[in-house]
Amino acid sequence: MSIMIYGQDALISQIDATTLDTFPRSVIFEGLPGSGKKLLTNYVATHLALPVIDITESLTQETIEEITESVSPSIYLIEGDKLTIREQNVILKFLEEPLKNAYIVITVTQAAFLLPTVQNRCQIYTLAPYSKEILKKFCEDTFLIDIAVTPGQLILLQNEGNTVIQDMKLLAEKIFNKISIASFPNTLSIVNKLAFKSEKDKFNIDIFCNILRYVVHNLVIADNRAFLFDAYTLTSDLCKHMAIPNVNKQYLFENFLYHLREVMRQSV
Amino acid sequence: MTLQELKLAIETNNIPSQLFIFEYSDNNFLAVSYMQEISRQFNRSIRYLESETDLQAEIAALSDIFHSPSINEQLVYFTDSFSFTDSKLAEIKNLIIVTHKIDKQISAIFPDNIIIFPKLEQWQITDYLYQTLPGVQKSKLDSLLVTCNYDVFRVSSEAEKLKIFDQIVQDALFDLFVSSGAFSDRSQYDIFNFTDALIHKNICLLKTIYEQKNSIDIEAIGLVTILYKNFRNIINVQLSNNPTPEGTGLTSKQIYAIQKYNCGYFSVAQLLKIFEFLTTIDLRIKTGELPVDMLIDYLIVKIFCI
Repeated sequence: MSIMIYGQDALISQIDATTLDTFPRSVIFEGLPGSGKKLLTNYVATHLALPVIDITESLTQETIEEITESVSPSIYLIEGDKLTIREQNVILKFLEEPLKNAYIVITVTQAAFLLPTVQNRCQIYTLAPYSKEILKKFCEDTFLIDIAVTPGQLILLQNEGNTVIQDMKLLAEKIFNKISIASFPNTLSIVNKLAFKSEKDKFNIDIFCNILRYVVHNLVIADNRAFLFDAYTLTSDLCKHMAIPNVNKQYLFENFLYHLREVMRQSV
Repeated sequence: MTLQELKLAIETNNIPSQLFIFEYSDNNFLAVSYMQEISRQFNRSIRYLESETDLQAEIAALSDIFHSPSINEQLVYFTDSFSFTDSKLAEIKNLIIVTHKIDKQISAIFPDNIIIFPKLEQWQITDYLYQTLPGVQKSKLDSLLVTCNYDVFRVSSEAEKLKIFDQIVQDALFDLFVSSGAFSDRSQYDIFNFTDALIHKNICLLKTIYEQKNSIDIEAIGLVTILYKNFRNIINVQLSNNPTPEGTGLTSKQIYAIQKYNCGYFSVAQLLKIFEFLTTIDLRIKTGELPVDMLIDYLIVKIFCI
């Protein structure tokens, strides 16, 4: 069964040119959440006719010994964003000495957040950003395409439902319009509507940050006063920092609210 | 069998080989000590059973003609509440149950197997320490008991450090241990005293606690979390005209306590700056900008300078 991957033509050409002997033994696939890192891993597996085994949750010396003694080749997938420093150190030797029957694929949002010693031992492939034309192949809703930056995010947005997305948009607009006159305790109460872990009946924080960026982007286009540019920069930084592994998203968001309030008060 | 009878049996090396059910009241220290001594006298290695399923398995093994009960093992089962009613359990002679509560019907099924351990009184713990460390002056042991708050587990743990030494040297070594901080947690303060001192801008108390910080369990990231929650609550209460449980997420009692004890030490501007500072720390640590080993000192200086 062939796997279709849109928007990564250069990377696919590189993979297609490899064989079992020439594909790197240790690889990092770097890309935003929903950009298709796992799909690409499956593509490699199909191309090389190998199974994929996810070892993210079982990174121990025993697992590594089993892999070393394995008689048939496999691709071992590790979700790099979930790795602790200790686990990264466990896999170092594993990455350094190519094993006869193992291809290691580490998927991360940003390779820079891995230890330099891990980065140095892997071939890094960066997934290309997705254009709006490519995203249209996944969804025709132009509003959702304006918010999402990857196919995975588009699918997440579609799953949320139109009503929820519209509610998030209304809240985002309210924040930018009213934060300058709201009291700080009132401002902090916004976080009660957001899911920072997996809380139900609350807005997904990652999707909400994308919607915030969409709303402030439109504000800047409509009105190019300096404080709106500052608000856009704050929001972009928020979206970027949210991707850092294991970061406390609530702290990040509340810090963003503090600075946004200061910036928007310049308009009053 | 009573506890006194069992004690005599242990002292005379005449323990009957039978099922024991030890019922303790406040803690299982004595019960565990007796269990260990019984295992030692029978020269058995201890094997812990995990659940009542294991007990059933041991009973089933009794009638298994291919099974040779291991007389070299002391089977031990810990449980909060014991309600296992199969009387065949009494045939397992190398089993000790240690439990906090026994179901009423158990007393009728196992009348001769239950030993009740009473609550340990302070004088008993004191006697225990005096006997364990006979070479140390009693006044010094009394101070150790106060530091350990008469917690028998802590007392036992601290006594272990000295009892391996000869009586003649115990007293001098005790002084050496005290001066070098070997007796853990001799401080009366904890992390909450530390955060209270910061919130109340109490520099004198903070200085005292800081000097003892190596004896207090203060974990830097945990300190940030506690300070963040405290300052967030203060902001929600102090900066609201009329703080309510619905608006703040706090109970009425918590709001009252914060208003009474925590509000007013920092101005509005200072509170906001401290909050902004605390919410950046996690990001700065995760990106490697801020080293964790300097975090406590950095927090103190920064909060007092705002």
